[in-house]
Amino acid sequence: MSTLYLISLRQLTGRPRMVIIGLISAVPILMGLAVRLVDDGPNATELDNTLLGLLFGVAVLPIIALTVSTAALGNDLEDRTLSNLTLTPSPRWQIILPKLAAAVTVGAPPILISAVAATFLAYDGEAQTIVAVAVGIALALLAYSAVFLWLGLSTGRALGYGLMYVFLWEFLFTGFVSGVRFLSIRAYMIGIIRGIDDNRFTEDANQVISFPVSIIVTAAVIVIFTLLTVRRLRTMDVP
Amino acid sequence: MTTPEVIAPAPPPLSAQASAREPVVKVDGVSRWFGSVVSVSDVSFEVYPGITGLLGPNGAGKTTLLRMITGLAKASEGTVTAFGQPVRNNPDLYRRIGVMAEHEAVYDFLTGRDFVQFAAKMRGVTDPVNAAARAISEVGLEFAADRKMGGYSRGMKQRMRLAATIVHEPELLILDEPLNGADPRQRVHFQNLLRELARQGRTIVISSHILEEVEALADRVLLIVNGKLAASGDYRSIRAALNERPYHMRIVCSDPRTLASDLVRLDEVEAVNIDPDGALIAQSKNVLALQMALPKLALESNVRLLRVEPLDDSLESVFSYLVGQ
Repeated sequence: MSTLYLISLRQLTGRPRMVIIGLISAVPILMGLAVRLVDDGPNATELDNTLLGLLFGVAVLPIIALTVSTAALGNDLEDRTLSNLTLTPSPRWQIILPKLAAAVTVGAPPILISAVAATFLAYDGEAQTIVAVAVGIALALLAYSAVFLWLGLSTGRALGYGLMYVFLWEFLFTGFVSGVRFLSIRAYMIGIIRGIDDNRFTEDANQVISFPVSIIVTAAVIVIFTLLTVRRLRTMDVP
Repeated sequence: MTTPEVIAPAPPPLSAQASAREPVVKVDGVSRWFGSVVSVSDVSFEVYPGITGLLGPNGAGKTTLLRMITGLAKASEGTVTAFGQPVRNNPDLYRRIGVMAEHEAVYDFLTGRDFVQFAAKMRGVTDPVNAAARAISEVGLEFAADRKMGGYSRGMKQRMRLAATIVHEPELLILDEPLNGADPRQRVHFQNLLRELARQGRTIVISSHILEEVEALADRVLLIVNGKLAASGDYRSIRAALNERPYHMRIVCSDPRTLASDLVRLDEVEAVNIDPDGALIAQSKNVLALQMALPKLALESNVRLLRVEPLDDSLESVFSYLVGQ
């Protein structure tokens, strides 16, 4: 598995992809810097909703996860190297897990550096908030990565469908229709952040999913979509 | 579409010893369709140790059939087994099978040695470093083993892919158009290597759209046309059937009518027609004799030959003839 993990890391760390990820990751840091420098900046609730809920929840985090994770298997499909992996005696989960691990390894550093730096700047270096944001974003990254890994193996238009999912589902529907809030990775991320630091998202606290439920459902998303990806690899025609 | 007749029934396995064995690969009533398009239709055959050539024109369904034999694609109908086990969803079987797909799927950022070692590790080879070195040596690419594959020629990529395919010493090798991109020297090397592997008792299925390529290698041939098995069996029996077919030769000359009247007197010639553009179309079952006799006849008739060309040397025309039998 380690061999495939290392090969996958090399596949995913091409210069164009890393430049795009770097640029996207810089946006929250710039926003945090702006908040720090402006005298009449947003209050804590506005910061929670815009920086954490929107900028990370439905922009930086899912887009970086989408960029990396759809490519983790999508590239193998596109350049037809997937058969190099499937024509081996390796159980299919031993192909999927290194791919998922590689996607998370590539996506996590820029997102976490961006999250920690932006939170440090915007929230005056509050340690509990920084920890809460780092844990919430890390777990949400795992969940998004599992979903997008499956998407990358399921369709050749994974980037397009992924963007539609992020915008239509994570931003529009679950952001404005309270009944489907339970079906949103962003909502689980917010639930985890508030569970660790109860000074965050205080205004809409009654609408935030509880910490245990957020943890359990995030774990369920990771497991279910990983199993779906393994199943997909077993049943699909490999080009 | 009518079912083509199998003109040469499948012969017994290569040796009396082999006949007592189970087939290595058994394809039983396999079909594959994509929507309303039938790519492979009700194909059945068995493969035994030695080299079996899968021959057919481009688009005949060879690759789809091979993908089903390797388990990469699911059959819409029918079953494929290797060593008595289903090939689909049976990863453990790949310890005994080596597959070289048609496309040049390599990691350009890896050196050839890294690529073959990666293949060895993925197949659970206990000593991947030495196994990779041996496989690279067998394909004669030691000199390029430590260069990145992105800089390889097409033929070198093919050979390094073959090294990755044989690195775990599989009993069954399935090779889809393996000689694509290889230069003549590489082809000879490749053919010798495959013969040696077959001599060691391995089973090799090799697909090609080039008749001569399969003729040079295969003990047994499977002819696929329009997704169906048009003929199967010993290459010589199929070749004999091919030799009986009439050939057409197009002759452009200075005096078609004079040459036509002289040509029909030759025993080798069955019929002569004159095209609207004035070219002669001579039909013969002994095209070699006709080729020998034609210059002499033209000289005697005082006719100048401007162009002489065979009309039906393409594989498609060969297959059309076989299917029409």
